[in-house]
Amino acid sequence: MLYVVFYDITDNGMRNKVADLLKKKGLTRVQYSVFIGDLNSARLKDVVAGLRVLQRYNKEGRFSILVLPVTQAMFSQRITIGDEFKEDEGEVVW
Amino acid sequence: MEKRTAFVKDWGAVLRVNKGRIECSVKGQVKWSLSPAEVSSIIFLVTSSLSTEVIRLANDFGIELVFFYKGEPISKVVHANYVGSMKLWLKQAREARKNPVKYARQFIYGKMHNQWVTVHYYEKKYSLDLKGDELTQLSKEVLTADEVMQKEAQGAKIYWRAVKRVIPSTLGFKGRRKMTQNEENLDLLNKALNIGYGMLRKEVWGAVISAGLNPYVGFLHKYRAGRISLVFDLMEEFRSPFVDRPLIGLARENPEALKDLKKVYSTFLFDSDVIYTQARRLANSLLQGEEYRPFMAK
Repeated sequence: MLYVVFYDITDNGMRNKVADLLKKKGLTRVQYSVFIGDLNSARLKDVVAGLRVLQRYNKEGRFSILVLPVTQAMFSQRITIGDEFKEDEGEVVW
Repeated sequence: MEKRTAFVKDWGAVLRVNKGRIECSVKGQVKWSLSPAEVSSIIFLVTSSLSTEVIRLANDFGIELVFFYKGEPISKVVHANYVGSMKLWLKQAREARKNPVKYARQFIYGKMHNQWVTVHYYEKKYSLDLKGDELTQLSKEVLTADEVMQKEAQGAKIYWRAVKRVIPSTLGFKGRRKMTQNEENLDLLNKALNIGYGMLRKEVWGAVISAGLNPYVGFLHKYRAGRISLVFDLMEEFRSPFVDRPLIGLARENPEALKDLKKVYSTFLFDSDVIYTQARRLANSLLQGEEYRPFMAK
């Protein structure tokens, strides 16, 4: 299942940590604070657990993350205005 | 999610872990950076440096690290937890000593059947006579004869002659040549075949290890210190359908593409399910004494 992760975090350091965690877990950045990734249930749990750990360290300011499941069919109907993010380039990384 | 295969092909590349991602850079410039969750293997084609942290991460995520030299896999990182299965190893060693021909026959039978499938495809498509029937005849004889290797050599002659006829003559393919002293003298198709068999060997090697078999004890290929004989054995069935067929296709369609290394290497992303199933079949056959059925291409 595809998951879209949105976040709204005021603290700069914390925001970077969240972005690094999502990248580490294999999600792709599509906008400054939006990531997308194809996760199975184990990997989803892993991502969510990691985000919850970070939440505990958030001292002040807004910390809000939304993880939204999307089906491939729905995702293919998306409308983009402006720059579209680059899709993955395939199975070989050269 | 399909996992990806990453190549390290730039001279002097540095592989390290950065913020939990595996990063490959050359002279400070990042070539690729991947999350360990999305990679299945990393293949090193050239001299490069590798951080031990990458090895640790690869072990945690089950990423295969394979090192190539001149298109041949020469080394592979095996997890310390890997012990294979003692019971299976003992049975394998016993069978290899007592009755190696039983399995050798099946491997060669599978190989020759699959070669026939490839040849027959072109016979039908272009109404050529490529002596496919002789191959079928030979493969049947393999099942009763003791000189398995002799039959294999006869089959190979017919097979490569047929291949020579279906690929463009501009490629200068005169027949199958293995590694020579001077690799520059090899024609493009032979070079690509060497790469393909190298990639296939890597894949079979991984399957043999994950099925808990001992890669060094073979049936068809004799024991020699340091040679992964069982991997060579199991490879035989897959050579024609997985390596030769896509390459013949590529050579006919676009002979120039054989010069493009990326294209050649990415031609060989195998359906690993089939290969792993065969390794498990062999393990089951050794453990339970069932008959081993080779992989028959369609």
